[in-house]
Amino acid sequence: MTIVALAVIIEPRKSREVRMHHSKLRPPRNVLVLFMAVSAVSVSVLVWLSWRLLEQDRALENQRIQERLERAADLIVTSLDLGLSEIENRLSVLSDPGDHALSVAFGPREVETHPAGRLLYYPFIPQVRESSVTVFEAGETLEFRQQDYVGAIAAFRALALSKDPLIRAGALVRLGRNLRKNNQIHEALAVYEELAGLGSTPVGGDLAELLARQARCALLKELNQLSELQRAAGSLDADLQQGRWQLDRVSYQFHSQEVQRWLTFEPDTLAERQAALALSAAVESLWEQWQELRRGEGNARGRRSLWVHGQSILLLWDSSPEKLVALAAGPRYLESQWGHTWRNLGVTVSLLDSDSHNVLQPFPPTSPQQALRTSSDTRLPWTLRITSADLAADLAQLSGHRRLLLAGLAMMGVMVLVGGYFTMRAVSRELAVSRLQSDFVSAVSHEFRTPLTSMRHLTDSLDRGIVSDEDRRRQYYAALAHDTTRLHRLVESLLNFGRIEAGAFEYRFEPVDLAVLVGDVVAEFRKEFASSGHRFELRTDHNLPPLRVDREALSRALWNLLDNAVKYSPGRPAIWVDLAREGKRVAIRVRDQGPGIPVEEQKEIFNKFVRGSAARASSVKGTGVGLAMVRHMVRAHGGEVRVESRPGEGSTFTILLPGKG
Amino acid sequence: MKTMARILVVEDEANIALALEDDLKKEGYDVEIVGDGDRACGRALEAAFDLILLDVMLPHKDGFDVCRDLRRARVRTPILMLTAKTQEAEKILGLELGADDYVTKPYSPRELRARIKALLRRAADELPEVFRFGDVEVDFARYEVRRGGRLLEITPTEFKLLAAFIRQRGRALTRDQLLDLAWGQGVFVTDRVVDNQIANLRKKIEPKPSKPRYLLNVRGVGYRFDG
Repeated sequence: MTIVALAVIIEPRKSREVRMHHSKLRPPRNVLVLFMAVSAVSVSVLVWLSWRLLEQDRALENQRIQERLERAADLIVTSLDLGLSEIENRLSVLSDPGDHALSVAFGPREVETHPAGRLLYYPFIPQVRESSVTVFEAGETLEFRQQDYVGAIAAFRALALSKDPLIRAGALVRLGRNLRKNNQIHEALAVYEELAGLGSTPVGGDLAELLARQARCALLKELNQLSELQRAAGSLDADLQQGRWQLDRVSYQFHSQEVQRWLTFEPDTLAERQAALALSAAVESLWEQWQELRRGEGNARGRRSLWVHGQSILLLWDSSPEKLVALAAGPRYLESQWGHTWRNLGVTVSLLDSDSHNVLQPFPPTSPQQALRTSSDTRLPWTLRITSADLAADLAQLSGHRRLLLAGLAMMGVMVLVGGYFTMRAVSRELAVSRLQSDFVSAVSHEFRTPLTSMRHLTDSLDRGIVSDEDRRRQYYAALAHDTTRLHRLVESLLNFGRIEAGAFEYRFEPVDLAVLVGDVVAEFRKEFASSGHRFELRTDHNLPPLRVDREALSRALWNLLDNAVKYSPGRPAIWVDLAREGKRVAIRVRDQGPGIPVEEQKEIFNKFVRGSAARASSVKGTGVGLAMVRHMVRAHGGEVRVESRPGEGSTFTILLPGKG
Repeated sequence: MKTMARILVVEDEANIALALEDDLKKEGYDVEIVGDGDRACGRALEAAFDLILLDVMLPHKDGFDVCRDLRRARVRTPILMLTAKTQEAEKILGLELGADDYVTKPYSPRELRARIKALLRRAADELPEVFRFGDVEVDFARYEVRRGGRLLEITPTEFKLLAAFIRQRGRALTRDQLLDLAWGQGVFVTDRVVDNQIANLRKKIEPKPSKPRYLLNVRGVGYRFDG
C-alpha cells in the first residue's frame, strides 16, 4: 500500500507542477556546458551560413547590376549607332542639325554652313576684289612723305565722295587714319562710323565695317570714353561671336584678340566661346582633311571624334572630290540628343576618344561596376563606359536586402537561443524534479529505516536475553511501541498524501469544537514528544465562530506544524499554539524559536518534496511532504496557510479557516 | 594484558542508542553515548576512544563533517559510519572522508558486532610488535623497552604511557587524556603525577632529557610524541 502511495506521489506528470527552490533550478554543470556547446555550434553555423548567404546575395546583386549595365550599354551603342547613321544618311539635306551642332557643305570654292553664323571663322574665304591703290597714291604721298596730314585729309575726303564703294571705303579708311594722326579724333570717329556703314565692303584685306568698328574702339580708348568703349567693343565682340562676317582664322583671331583687350569675359561666356571655337577649328580640320581627300588620301566617308580647344567635336562626313557634306557637333549636342535615353536607363555614360579624352563632362566617378564598349567593338568613334547613374540607390537596394536577410537570420539566432533556453529550463526542471524525487525516496527510506533499525536491535537484544532488568525491559517495550506508532504515522501520512495527490482523499466535514480539537492534538503531541524537552504553551480563544471541519485532516495538519516546530528548534524549548478568532475567521498559530526561513524559501516550502535550507544545514529529518499536505488540507476547508518568519527569529505558521456562514 | 575497548556511540535516535549501549556493554566494551555532531567532536578530541560508531544524520553537524574534522585533527581512532542512507555516493563520501567501515540501517546487530570486533582487531594489528624510534625499541609482545640493545627498567605505567603516545603519535594529548589512556577511567591521580611519569620516561628514552627530542611539551595543552 505504501509503495502504491509512493508511486502516486512521485508520478512524473504531476511532479512537473512542482516549483523548485531557486538553487534547484540551476542545471548541472555538464548540462550547462553541453547546452552552451550546442548553442555555440548552432549559432556559429548560423553565422557562417548568414555570412555565406550575404556573400552570395552580394554576388547576385552585383551580377544583377552588371547585367543591367551590359543591357544598357548595348542599348546605348545601338541607339547611338542608329542615330549617327540616320544623320549620315541625311547629311546632304541637313539644314537644321539642332543646337550645338553645325552642318557643313564644302565646294571647291565655297563653304556653306547651317545654321549660318555658328562658325566663328571659315577655312576658306573666296578672294574678293578691292579698289586699286593707285587712286590713293596722291593722298598717301602727302601723308607718308610730306606728313602733310591736312593735305592728305583733303585728298581722301574728296575720294570719299566717290560712288564706287570700294574707292569710298579705301578713302574713308585713309581719311580716318590721317584725321587721327592730325589729332582730329572726333572727326575720325565720325569717318569710321560712315565707313562702318559700308558693311562687308572689302578694304585693306579686311571688311569695312569690322575695320571701322575696331578703329572706333581704339579711338574711344584713346579718348578714355570707357563706357562707350565697353558698349562698342561688346557689340563688336558679339557680332564676331555670332559669325556676322565671313572671316578666315587669322582675321578672326586678330579681331577677337583686339576686342578682348578692351573687354572682360564671364566664365560662362568663355565656355560658349570655347565651344564655338572648337566647332570652327573642327570645320577647319575637316576642310584640310577634304583637301587631302581630293588629293586621294583618307576616307570619303566617316566618323571621327576630334579633340580641339579642350573639347571633343564629333565629325560625320560624306565627301567626293567636288563636294563634302558633314556634321560637326559638340558634346552638348550628344547630351541633347541621347542624354534623356541614358537617364531613362538609369546610367551614366562616359565617352572616351581615341586619345582617352573624356568627351562628356563631368567625368563620372570611378565605379567597380561598369560596362565597356570599345570603339573597335562598335562603329562609334568612342569607347563607351557605362556606370550606374545612382550607385548609392543600387547599394541601398542591396543593403535593404542585406538588412532583411540579417533581420531574418538574427531572428533565427534569437529563436535558437530562446529555444535553447526553454529546452535547458525544461531539462533543468526535469532534472530538479528527478533530484527532488530522489531526495524524497532517500528521505522516506531514512524515515522507515530508523524505527526499523531500533525495533530490530531492541527485539534482537530481548531475544538474546541480554536485558535481564525488568525496568530496562519495560523501557524496551515502550521504545518498541513508540517506533511502531512512528511507523504507523509515517505510513498513514504517505498514504494520505498519495490520496491527496491522486485526488482520492475524502474529507468529512462536521461541526467541531475547534478548541477541543486543538487541545487534544497538542496534548497528544506533548505526550508523544515528552522526551524532546520542548514546552508547549496553548492559548485558546473560546469565542470562536461555529466551524465545520474534517477532524482527521485538521488534526493531521496541526500535527505536521507541531512536528516541524519541534524538529527545527532543538534546544529552544518554547513552542506556542494560539487559537483565536480573526473577524469571521479562525486562526491556529504555531510559533517556534527555530532558525527561521529565508523569505525566498517561504513560498517554495509548501511545494511537495521541497525542503528548506535549514533542513539541509541541520540534518533535520523529514520527507518534504508535510507542509504540502497542510496546505492541501487547509485549502480543502476554504482556508489558507501562511508563514511569517525571519532567519534567526523563529517562524509562525498560521492556519486560517473561514467561519461557517 | 587485555584492556576494555572504549567505544563512542554518536546516535541521535534515543531507541537505537539504547539498544546499542546495552548490546555493546554486554559485549564488554566501555560505551559512551552522545546525541549530536558537536558533542561527538568534543568528546573524541578530549578522550581517547578505541572506536567511534558514528551516525550520519545528526543535529548541528552531520556525521560526514564530524569524520572530516576528526581526521583533520589527526584523530586516528577507527570510525564506523552507521546510517540509514543507502546511496553508494554517500558510502563513498564517508569512506573518503576517513571512515573505516560503513553499515547501513537497518543493520543486523550480529553483523554490527562482528564489524566492531574486526575494526578493533585491525586497529590493534596496525601497531607492530616492535616499534623503533632512534635507538629505542618498544616490544609490545614482550612488554619490554630496549635502548641501544640494552633492556631498560620500565614500570607498567610508564610502558602504558609510552604505548599511548606511540598509538597517538604526532597528536597533542592533554594530561587528562594521558591519565585516561595510561591509568584508565575512574583512577584519581593529579596532573603532577603525569608530569613526573613523563620526566622519568624522558630520562630513560631521550638522548638529552633536558632537551627532549621525542616527548615534546605542547604549551597550554600537554605533550606530543614525535617518534
